[in-house]
Amino acid sequence: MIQKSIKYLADSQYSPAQLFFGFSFWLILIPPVSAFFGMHYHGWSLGIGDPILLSLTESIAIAIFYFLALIAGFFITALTIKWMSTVYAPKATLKDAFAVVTVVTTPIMLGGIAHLYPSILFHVIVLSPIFALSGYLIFASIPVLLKTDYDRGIFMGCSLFGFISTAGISLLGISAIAWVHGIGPNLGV
Amino acid sequence: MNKDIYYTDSATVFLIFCTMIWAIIGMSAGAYLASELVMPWLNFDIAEITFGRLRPFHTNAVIFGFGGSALIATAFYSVQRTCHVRLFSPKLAWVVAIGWQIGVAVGVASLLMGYTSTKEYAEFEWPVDVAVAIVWVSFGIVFFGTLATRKIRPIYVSNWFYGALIIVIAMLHIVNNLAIPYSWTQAYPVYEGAQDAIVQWWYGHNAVGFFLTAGFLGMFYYTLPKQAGRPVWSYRLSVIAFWAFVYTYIWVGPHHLHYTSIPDWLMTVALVMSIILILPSWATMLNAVMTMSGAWDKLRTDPGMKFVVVSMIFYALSTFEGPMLAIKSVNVISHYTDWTVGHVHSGALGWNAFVTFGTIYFLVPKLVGATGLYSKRLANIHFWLALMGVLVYIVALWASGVAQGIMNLAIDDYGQLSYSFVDIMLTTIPYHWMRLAGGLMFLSGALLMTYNLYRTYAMSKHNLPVLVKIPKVHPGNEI
Repeated sequence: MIQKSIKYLADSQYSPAQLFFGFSFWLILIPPVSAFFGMHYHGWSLGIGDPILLSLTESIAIAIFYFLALIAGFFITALTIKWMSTVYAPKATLKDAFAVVTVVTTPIMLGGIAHLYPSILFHVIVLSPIFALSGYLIFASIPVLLKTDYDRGIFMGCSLFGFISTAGISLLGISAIAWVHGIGPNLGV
Repeated sequence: MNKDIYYTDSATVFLIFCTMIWAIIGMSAGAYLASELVMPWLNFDIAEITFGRLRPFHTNAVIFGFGGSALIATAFYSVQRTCHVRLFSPKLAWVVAIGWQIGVAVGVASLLMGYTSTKEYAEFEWPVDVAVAIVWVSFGIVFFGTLATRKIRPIYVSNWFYGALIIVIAMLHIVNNLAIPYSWTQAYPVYEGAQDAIVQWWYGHNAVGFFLTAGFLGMFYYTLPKQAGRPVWSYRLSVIAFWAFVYTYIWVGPHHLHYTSIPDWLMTVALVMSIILILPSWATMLNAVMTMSGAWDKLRTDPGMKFVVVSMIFYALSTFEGPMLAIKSVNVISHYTDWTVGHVHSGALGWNAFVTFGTIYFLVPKLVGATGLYSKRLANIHFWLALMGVLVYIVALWASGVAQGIMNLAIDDYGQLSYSFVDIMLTTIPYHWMRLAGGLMFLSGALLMTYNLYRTYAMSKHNLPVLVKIPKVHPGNEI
């Protein structure tokens, strides 16, 4: 089914703007909106003790920054794919790069609904298989959507996997910097 | 028979055998330690297997036993091929190979018995330190002696990295372990207080930099072009990255001592140099990616290549995460938590172990005269077990580390700490179960590999070592 859907997307006529505003933009809203409700009404559960509830202002600020980071991440990843394709998939266009990002991020954005219950352990359990699925989609979608052969696609998938992992880590680092500077939990630093 | 026309690989074969033995010993100890974190009764009140003693046993067994044996083995193998000459002194090479095993074995056994200098990654007491220093200098004599007697004019880039490994580790090991003995098992360090800490982490992080990075980059620069069947994409970039790496890395140690009593400027220098270090690291990564480009079918056909390619991903990830953790605002959260442990393992397992596995899968059939591995399928299963293992491991410790970091620092409205130490420990239990599962997956992959290599050796039916003739050097490159 996954392969069929990717093939269907590859054969469809659309522009990058249509793909983004007609589909991805709305999906990208799911994690920050869920995060807002989770942080403000339930609070982050670390595993023990009362959940850390954030104020309305803080929750809105974090949700907005989160949304902007996801939007930026979407475009930067698409441009990176286009840049990488000069080596791995010479026939790929920007439209194809947008399609790959859309396919890969769809499960993650849908999984963002997990933010409604912000518990670290719950997130690890729910999001790990979702990230594994997205990892699979990187390798499954690149050869079809970027019109390259399977072997080159696997190589490009490895490079893209490295890029996305690094971006994920940097998001964790940015979060830590935000916490230390007073956005988020009340820390004694 | 004129032996001088053949390479000498017997010490390499022995060292690769030892590498796999140390992998099993060191990784089993790691898995046992992970078990003790969730089932503390597993120490059975036996002092030798309590966490405090088994932990340095694990780190020294995997770094110096597994990693060190692999580095010396591949250095001996590749320096001959890249210099077109037999090892400078095969007998001294054997002394190094056996001496290293004895040194590490005595060292880790003494740690279990409770003899420790308490300096992380430099826990061995002074008699073992002296023995290790002698063996290491002998390694240098064999390596640089071979370089000096080479038949080919250029010095290939892998030898630059191995050379840096040998020189800098000798310097770090000797300077950091300077001490005044007062018995056969104990000594006073010559440094005091904050100075001792600075020297220790100058050693500690450069052990990561020059042992676990420069040495393995030497291995990588030899193996990857050979496996891919293509030259290094940019030789110039590799040499520029080498010098940038050497000049930068030596400064970064004090980032382990943020918010301590060492001078503030030293922390800042370490932070800045750590960030700069991303450039040479990623230049190497780019060079690797471009070198692999074109060898498109290798990922499907060569199991060893899979390990080497994935090792590059983890190299990129670790060399980005490391500088990020050196930023003070991140470090205040991450330090003293599982986040650091996860970072170390993404480098040690994902980068060091993967590139070693890939290299050994590449070398062993050649060394034992086999046409290929006994089972590519087993190697593929090993790959997926190892990959899943390391991913489960680091995801668990990222989550655990973030929770610990916040809980360590969280305060209530009265400025009191919100969580006790016991609260934090209880929170981490589920993640430590995941960590154990990831570690067991990684260990079972290493066991499969050992079996596969043994069967490869068994089916080759050759007397070891297999003799390989030294090829003639192109006249334009002759010395």
